[in-house]
Amino acid sequence: MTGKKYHRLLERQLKKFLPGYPEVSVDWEDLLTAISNSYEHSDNDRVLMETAMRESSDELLSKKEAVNQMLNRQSLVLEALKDAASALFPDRPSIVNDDLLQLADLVQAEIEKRQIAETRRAQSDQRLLDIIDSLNLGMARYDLSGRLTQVEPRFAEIFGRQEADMIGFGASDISGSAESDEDTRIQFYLTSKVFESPFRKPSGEVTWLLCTTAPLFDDAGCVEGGVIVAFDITSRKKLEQEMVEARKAAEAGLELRKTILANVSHELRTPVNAIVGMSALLSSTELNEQQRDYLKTMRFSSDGLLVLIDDLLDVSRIEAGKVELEEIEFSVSENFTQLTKALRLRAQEKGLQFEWKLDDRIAPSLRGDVHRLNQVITNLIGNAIKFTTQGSVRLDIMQSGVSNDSQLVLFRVTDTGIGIAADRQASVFHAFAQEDNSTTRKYGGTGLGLSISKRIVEMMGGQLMLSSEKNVGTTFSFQIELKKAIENAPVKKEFNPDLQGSRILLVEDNKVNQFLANALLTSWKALVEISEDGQDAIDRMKEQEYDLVLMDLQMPIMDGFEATAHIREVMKSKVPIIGLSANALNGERERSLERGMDDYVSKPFQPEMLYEKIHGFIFRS
Amino acid sequence: MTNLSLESQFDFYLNHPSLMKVQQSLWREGKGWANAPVSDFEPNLIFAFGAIDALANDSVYSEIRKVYPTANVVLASTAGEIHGDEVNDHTVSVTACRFDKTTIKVVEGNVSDCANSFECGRSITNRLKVAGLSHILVFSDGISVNGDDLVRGINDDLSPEVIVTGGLAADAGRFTKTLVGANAEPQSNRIVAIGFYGDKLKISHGSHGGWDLFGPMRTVTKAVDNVLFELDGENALEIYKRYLGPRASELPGSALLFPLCILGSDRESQLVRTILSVDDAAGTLRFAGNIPVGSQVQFMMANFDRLVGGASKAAEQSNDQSPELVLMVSCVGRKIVLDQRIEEEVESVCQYFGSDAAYTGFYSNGEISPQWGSTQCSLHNQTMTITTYHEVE
Repeated sequence: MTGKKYHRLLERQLKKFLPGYPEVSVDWEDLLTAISNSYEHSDNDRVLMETAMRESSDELLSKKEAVNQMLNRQSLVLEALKDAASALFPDRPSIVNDDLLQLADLVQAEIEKRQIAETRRAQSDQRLLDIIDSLNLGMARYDLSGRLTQVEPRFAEIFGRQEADMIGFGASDISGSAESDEDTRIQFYLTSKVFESPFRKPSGEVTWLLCTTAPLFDDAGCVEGGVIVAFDITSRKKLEQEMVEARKAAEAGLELRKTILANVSHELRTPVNAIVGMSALLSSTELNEQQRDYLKTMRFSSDGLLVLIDDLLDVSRIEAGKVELEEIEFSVSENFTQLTKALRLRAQEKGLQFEWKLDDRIAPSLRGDVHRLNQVITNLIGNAIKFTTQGSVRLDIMQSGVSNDSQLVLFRVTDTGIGIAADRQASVFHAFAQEDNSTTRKYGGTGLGLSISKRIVEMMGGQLMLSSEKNVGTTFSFQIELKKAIENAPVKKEFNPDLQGSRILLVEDNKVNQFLANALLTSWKALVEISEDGQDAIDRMKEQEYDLVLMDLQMPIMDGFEATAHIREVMKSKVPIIGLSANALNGERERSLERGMDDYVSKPFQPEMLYEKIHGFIFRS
Repeated sequence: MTNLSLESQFDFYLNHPSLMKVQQSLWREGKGWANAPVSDFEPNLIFAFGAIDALANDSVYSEIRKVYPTANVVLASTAGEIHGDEVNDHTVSVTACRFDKTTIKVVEGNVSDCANSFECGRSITNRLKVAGLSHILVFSDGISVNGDDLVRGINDDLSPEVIVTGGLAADAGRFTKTLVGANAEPQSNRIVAIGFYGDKLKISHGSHGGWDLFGPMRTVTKAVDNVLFELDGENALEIYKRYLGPRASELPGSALLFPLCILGSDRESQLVRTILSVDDAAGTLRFAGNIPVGSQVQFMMANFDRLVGGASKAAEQSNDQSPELVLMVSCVGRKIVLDQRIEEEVESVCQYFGSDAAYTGFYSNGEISPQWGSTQCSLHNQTMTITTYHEVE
C-alpha cells in the first residue's frame, strides 16, 4: 500500500469489493488514481453546478423582483399617464388606452402644437415689449415684496443703471410714493395707480417720471406681484414749472397794475377833490357873471374828471370782485325826475328831444342800490346823447313782472343815433372798447362806461341787452328785480347843516384836504381843531376832550390805524372816530372798523353824507 | 466504430492514393521518442505541439531537426496534445507533412516588434500575401497577444477567399507563459504563420462549442479593450467569484468553467470569450478577446454531452470526405471541464473522418477560424475548431 488516500467513495468501494484491500498491487495504482480523480472531478463539478445554479437562481429571483417592481411602477405610471392624457384630451376619451406608443405620438403632437403656440406667444410678447420700448416706456415687474424681478432695457436706461443691477431693487426705492411705511408702500404698488414722481439718478440728475402701476395675478387669481411702466416727463415737467412761474409773474403784474391804478386814482382824486371842494366854496361867494361862467366851466371839467376817475376805480374794483351792492329805499318818481333833469338839459343842448316815461304800475318806493342804478341809467342815456346827432333819446321804465314784495322792472334807453354794426355789438361791452378807434376820436370817452354798466346790471341779477341798426338807432335794455319799500317811505329831509356847540378834531396831513374839511365843518358851525398826524392828535386828546375825531388813515409819524388803536386801547377813550381815506379800495373800511373806528368815509366825500354821519354820532348819543 | 489505439498509431504511415504524405511520431516529456520519426521521405512542413516543459527542457526542436534537416518546423506549447484519437499531457505530438502540389511559406513575428496585436496581424498578411495564397495557418503566443486584434489585423488587408485558421498557444491552463517557434527553439511573444499557395490543396474548416447559456443576461457597463471591469454596474470579478464558490481560489483557470458569451444584436450570433488572467487588486478580468462596452453577455456552462456533440458538429461543418490531415484546435476550457473524458470529443471527430486520416492538434488559449457560414476568420474560445487538408491532382 502506498498510503495514498483515494476518493472516499472509491475507498468504500475498494473495501467492499477488492479482497485484501488496503493491500493493493502497485500495478493498480495509476488506475485507482485515475478513478479517484474522476470521482473528485465529478464532486467538484457538482459543487460548482450547485453554487452556480443557486447564484443564478438568486440573481434571477432578485431580477424578477426588480422587474416586478418596475412593472408595478410602470403600471402606476401608465395609469397616471392615462389620467394626464384624459385631462389633455378631454374631448377625445376614446384615445386614452393602454397603447403607450399611440399615446406618446399624441402627446408629441400636442407638445409640438403647444411649442408653436408658445413660440407665437413669445413673439407676441416680444412685439409688445418692442412697442413699449419704441414708445420710450420703461417697464419692469416686481414680486409681492416689491422687489424687481424683471427689468426691460428702457426702464434701466431711464434710471441710469444696468438692467441686471436693478434686479432686487424695491419698486418703492426707485420711485417713492408718499407713503413712508414700507408695507403701505408695497400695498401702494400692488394696486392700479398713476402718479408722477421725481427720481435722482446715480449721476445726481433729477428725472421726473410719470408712472403707472398695476397688480399681476397668478393662475389662481391671486396677486403675485405687479408691473410698473414709467415715462420720462422731465422736459414736460420743466415746461410746466416755467408756466407756473410765468403765471405767477403775470398775476403779480396784474396785481401791480391794480395797485398802481388804485394809487393813481388816489393821487388824482386828492387834487380833484380839492378843485371840486374849492369850486363849491367859491360858488357860495359873491361872484360876477364872468367869474360865475368860468367857475361853471371849471366845475364841469372837474366833475368829468371825477367821473373818469370813478370809472377807473369802478373797473378795478369790479374786476377784483370788491363791489358790494347797497340796499337803499328810494322814491322812484323823485329819483328819476332828478336824474333826467340834468340829462334832459344835455340833450336839449344838442338839439335832441328827450322823453322819459314811468309805468304807473310801479310802486312809488322801491329798495335797491339806487346810486348804482342811476350810474347805469346815466351812462346809457349819456351814451345815447353822445352818439345821436338828431332825433330823440328816450327812457322807458316798465313793470315786467310782480310778486308780493318785489317788482321786475324793465329799463330801456332808445336813441336815433349812429347805431352799432352787428359784428361789433358784442365787443362794445368790453372795457376800453368802442365801436372802433375812429369813434373814439370823434366822440371821446374811455369806453369804460358800458363795461361797468354791464357788470353792475349783472350784479343786480339782470343782463344788459343791446339791439341796434347802423345809422338807425340803438336800444339798450335790462330788467332787474327790485324789492318793494316798506310802507311810509321816509320823506327826504331838507339839508340844513348845524353842528353848533360840537368840538371836532380833524387829523389830516394834506393841506388841501385840511382846508376843505375845515371849511365844510366850520360852515356847519362846528368848532374845529387840526392835527397833522396821529401822534399830535393823541397829544391833543390828552389836553382836550372832543365830541368826534375825523381821522385820515395815511399820515407821517403815526398813521390813523395806529393812532386809533392807541386811543382805544391805551387811552380807553370811546370818542367817535370816523376814518377818512382817498384810497377807495375795499378792505380799508374793514381795517378801519377792526382797529376801533366807528365809521369810515372815502374822499372826496359828499358833504351831505359826511354831515349825516357826524350829526348821527354827536347828537344821537 | 473505428478504434485508433495509441499502439496502432506508433507505426502509422499512410500510403493511400493521395499526393500528400503524413508521418506522425510522439515524444514523451523527459523520456524521449515513444516512436521515433523515420526519414524515409522528405516532408516540407512539421507540426510539433507539445507540453511547455517538454518544449522548453527537452530540446525537442533539435531532435526533430536531426531527423528532418530541411523541413519547416513549427512549434507551439499546449494545454494538452491531440495525437491520433488520444489526448496526452507531457508529450510532443510531431506530424511531418509533405505537400507535393502546394508551396509553403513560414513567417515569424515578435509581438514586441509591433505597436500592437493588430499591427502584428497586418504585418503577417503583408509578408504572406503573394499570388496563389489560399490559406494561412497561425499559431500565436497565448498570453501577450490580444487574439481578437491579431485576427482583425490579419483580415484587414486579406482577400476573403483566403481561409485563416489556427490557435493561441497554451500552458496547461496556468496562463503565465506560452511558447511558439518556427525553425528554432520556441519562445514567448512569437507569432508563426504558414502560408499555403496553390489550388491543389483542399482545405475545409469547422468550429463549434456546445456550451449552455445560463443565468441572467447582463450588459457590459465598463471595459477597456479586452479588460472587463463591470457588468450591470457590478464588479465583474466579484460576480465570477460568487458563481465559482469554492473554486474561486483556482482563478484564473477556474474561470474557464464559465466562459462569457457575447450576444450579437440579433441574439443569434454568439462569440465566446475566456479569461486569460485576473487582477485582484484592480478587480478586473482580462479576456482572450475584446469585450465591447454596451454589449449583452451571458454566462455559459458545460454540458458534457453537448460539448462532445459540439466537436462532432465541427467535423460535420468541415465536410471533407477524405482528408489526409485533420488539425484540431480545441479549447483548454473544454479540457478542464471534460477532464478524463476529454478524449470523447476527439474520438467523435476521428469517428467522423475515419481511420484513413491523420489527426493532430492541441488544447489552446483561443481558436482561430471563420464563423460558421462566413469566410472571415475570428477568434473563438471554448470551441472545437477543425481544419482538414488534402491535395488533389
